[in-house]
Amino acid sequence: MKNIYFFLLLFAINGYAQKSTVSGYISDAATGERLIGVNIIENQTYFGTVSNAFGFYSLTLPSADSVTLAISYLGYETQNVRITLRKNNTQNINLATKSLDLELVTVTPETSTPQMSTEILSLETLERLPMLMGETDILKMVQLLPGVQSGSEGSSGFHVRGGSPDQNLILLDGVPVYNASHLFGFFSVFNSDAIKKVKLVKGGFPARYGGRLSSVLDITMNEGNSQEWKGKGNVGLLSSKIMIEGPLQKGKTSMLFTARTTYYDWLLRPVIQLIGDTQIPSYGFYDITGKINHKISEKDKIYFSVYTGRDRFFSKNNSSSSENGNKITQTDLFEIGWGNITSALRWNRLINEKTFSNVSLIYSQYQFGMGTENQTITKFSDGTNETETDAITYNSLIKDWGVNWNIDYYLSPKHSLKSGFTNTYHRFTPKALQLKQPLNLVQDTTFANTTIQAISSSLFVEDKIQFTPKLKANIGVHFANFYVRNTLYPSIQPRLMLEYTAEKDWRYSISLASMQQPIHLLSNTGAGLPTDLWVSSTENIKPQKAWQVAAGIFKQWKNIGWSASIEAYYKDMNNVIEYAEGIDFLEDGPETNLLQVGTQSWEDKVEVGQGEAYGAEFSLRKETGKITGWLAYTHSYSNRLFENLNNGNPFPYKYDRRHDLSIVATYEFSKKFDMGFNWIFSSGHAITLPLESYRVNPTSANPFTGALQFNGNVINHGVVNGYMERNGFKMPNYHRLDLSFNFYKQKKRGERIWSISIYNAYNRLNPYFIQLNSGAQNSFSQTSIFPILPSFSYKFNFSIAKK
Amino acid sequence: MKSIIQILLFTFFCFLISNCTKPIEIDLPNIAPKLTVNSFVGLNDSIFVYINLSQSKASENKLDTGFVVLDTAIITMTDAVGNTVEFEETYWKGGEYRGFELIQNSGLVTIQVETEDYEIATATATIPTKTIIDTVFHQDSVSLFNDEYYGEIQINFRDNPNEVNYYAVELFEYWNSKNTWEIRSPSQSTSDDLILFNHFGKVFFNDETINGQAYTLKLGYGSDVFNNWKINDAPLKIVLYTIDFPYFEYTKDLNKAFNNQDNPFSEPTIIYSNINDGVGIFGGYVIDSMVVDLF
Repeated sequence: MKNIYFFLLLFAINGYAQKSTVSGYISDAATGERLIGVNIIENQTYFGTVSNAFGFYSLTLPSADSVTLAISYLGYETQNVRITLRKNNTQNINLATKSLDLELVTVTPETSTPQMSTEILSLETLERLPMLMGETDILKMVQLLPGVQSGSEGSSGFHVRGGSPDQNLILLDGVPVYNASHLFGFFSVFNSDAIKKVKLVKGGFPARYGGRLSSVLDITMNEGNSQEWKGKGNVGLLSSKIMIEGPLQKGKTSMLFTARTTYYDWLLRPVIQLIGDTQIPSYGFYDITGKINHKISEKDKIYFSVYTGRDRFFSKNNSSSSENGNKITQTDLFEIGWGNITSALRWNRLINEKTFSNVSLIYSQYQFGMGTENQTITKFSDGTNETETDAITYNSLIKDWGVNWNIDYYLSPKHSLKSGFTNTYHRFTPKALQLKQPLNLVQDTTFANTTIQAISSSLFVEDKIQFTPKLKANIGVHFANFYVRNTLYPSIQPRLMLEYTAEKDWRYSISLASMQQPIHLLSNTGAGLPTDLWVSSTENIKPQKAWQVAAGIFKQWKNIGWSASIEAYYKDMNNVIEYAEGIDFLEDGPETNLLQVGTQSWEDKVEVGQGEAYGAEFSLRKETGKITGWLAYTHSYSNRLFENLNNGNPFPYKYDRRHDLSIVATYEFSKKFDMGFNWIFSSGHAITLPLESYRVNPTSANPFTGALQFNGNVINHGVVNGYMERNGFKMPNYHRLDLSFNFYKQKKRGERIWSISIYNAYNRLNPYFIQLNSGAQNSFSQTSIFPILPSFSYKFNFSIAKK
Repeated sequence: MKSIIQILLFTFFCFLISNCTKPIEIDLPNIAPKLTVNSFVGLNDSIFVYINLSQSKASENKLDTGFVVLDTAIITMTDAVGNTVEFEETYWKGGEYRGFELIQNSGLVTIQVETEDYEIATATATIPTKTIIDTVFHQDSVSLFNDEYYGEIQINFRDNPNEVNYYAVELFEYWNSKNTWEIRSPSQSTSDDLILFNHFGKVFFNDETINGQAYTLKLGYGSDVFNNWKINDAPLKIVLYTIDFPYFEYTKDLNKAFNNQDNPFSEPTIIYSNINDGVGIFGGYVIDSMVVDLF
């Protein structure tokens, strides 16, 4: 018996002593930037892990005198690191970018799919692709991916797997961004020079994500070069931008700063006004991004990042007149402005070699305002003055304050656990109308200033399990709670993804995810206009819910750099909302009433219903060589069902586009010249057109009897339209070709790049909207907004090396 | 330098071409014309029915002249107790038919319209129970809005607690010079507990928030209007319509459609219709009116 106990003890001791953990950070050798999603695999056992969102990895292996780790990351030289692993070991690794001298390897786009329903965007490819007005735009690139469709022409809004634009969670360093658009939706707010990594998750959502139904666009900012000072600049037709990054204290503290601005409003417009036209409208935007990080110790690091951006459009008219010897000057001002502010303060703590913690304090704000002001100054003949001002302003505001705490626990090579907690306080003011009276009659009235306060909390647990080298899973659950106006909306959201890697790089995957979304976007057009209103769920309007299942096959031909995938999905949505019939965003409610301005809630303007989306995505990619790029095709269906819309019958979603095809390619002729090519085809989106018209008769009462009568004058009879089913007509198909040409030249302290971009190269007049001409029968007009648009920009990259 | 300027001018010129509108042809299905029936029947009031045909959008006809009026329709209207109304085509011969009799009973009224070549159209309206105007008052300079003082006309009535009621109110002022009553549309209302809308001077609302209550409807008119009434010592006529659901719903949709025409970003409005095998409206109403000398 004693022998048995001895052997058991020996076995336990041996079992315990036979494992050691190697951990550390993976960084870019040149810049010191931590690298996210780096593969670390042990060459004998094939056990492996992936670096987390802060570049940290941890791998527990059987103890050995010599262990070789293969570190690989697209765009970087693979490293094989041999270490001794007799005890827990810290191994920080610096990866070098792939040499551009190699003939067959130019830019390696990082758009390969590391797991199903997930896309990683290559920022190097983004710089080479043709873009609208030469403005590199992350969201425009997202629209080229399989399963993702754009909204209206030029819009930066996107629809993922049949969902609406509000169903995409856009995170910038973990902070939600509510309106990611400049220039009425034509450009996104993200300055690509500040961005390190962009990941789009379309399905199989890991449990750490929640709050939206259709996708997560997770954008991570650069930290700032911790080795040397560098910068980038870009002068374009529409805007210019600059980026500066560098070490405040080498190896410990680094910073990043970017700024972008248009110059029409402060440079061109004053020049045009000098020439003659004093009353032209003005438009401009700016955005500023900043980040600073400081390494407190080997175990602790803090980051502070902030983004602020604003758009402003205004029109000012002045006029003068005389009346009875008095001089009257009138000024009319119309203004629209909107903007975001986001900030995050984060603390990374390495608790031990297996446990990594991140705590974040976040703040996000989105504000939209529109207003008119009329000022009349009267100079009387006796020398006195009188000023009268009338103003109406309309404001919409969202503010979030939140705290997140996430733990990564690398239990074993087979189990990687994540868990975390989030608590956010929301403050919504979806509509506030304010009237200001002339100063001599003091009346300052605010209507419908309905502020809604809400708290959303969530808790998640996620386990990445490697059952065998070929079979792995990501299993988790996301618990969420939304509390608003004494109403609680709890939800339990299971998440599951299974992946099997068969012979010859074939991979099969399935996933299942349940999601809940407690906030909604009221949008008339889906074009990402600033007039879109973010509103909270209330006691009357419940959170949206969805289930999504997906299955996919992925195949890679590593020797020739090709990969292909096909993925099918089905999504079922509940409690989706749409504006009721006849509604416009400024209306007071279903009945446009007298002057009872702003007495009704937005809840009375919407209908609640269901949605369904399904389809298949196919992609083919080439990732090495002089020519790189991808082909993405999606065949999809997306429908809605509302009791009070379309007579209760199902109807197509506005952006139900049957076919969506993107062909994207870049070709590097030499180190001095490359070109980019996009061709996009999309079925037209759905609109509602009238099928017939008929007469109606405005009535009046006989003044003597009170009896109703029809006006006998035929000319005064009104005509109204009878409509086909809602969204029953498809717009003409959309297609366009974009080209870009980039010319590089090395200079003494950097590199300069001339870029010429041609948007819509064959001048296809794609429809922006179709309208029935008033007073006409079968007469429609199509309005397009972007014909062929060539543009150019000048970019320069420079370094400020210390001597 | 010269080539750079040429590039700048070329790209700037292209940027200016930023809005292109062109007519396009759309292949819409050719919808067969349907009978359009428009009629409102009131208690003890003259009855008119207007009949024509709808037009398909695929038609080549021009809008104003393409609607076919039907002069040979056979109309059968029956009230709640089985009395029928006979019709003849009116003097104006524009598809308007006048009833020889009056409807003298509240309750359901049915209509049937028969024509050659088209489906028989039928519909049902309800003449509701009359709501009586109790009193009418006025008040000067009650509220200030947009730099103008407003006075109010206050109309008191009691809602029927046993029914869902829909109402419309009109105010007429008497013009001595023309010897006519002219409708005067209110400019605002402080009756914030109602959802009101204004359609060609007639104010519509329902009893959702005032069911069974003795209620005061307040209609605001500008100080210049009030001054005119005082100067002219003009009598006012208040007409309170109690209407049925189809009448209310149809007018509400019509109001939305007219407000949103030419706006490509508004949601399309589907106009309510209760005509079976046709389009249009058949609604019921009853009125109470009061002439007041307030000034």
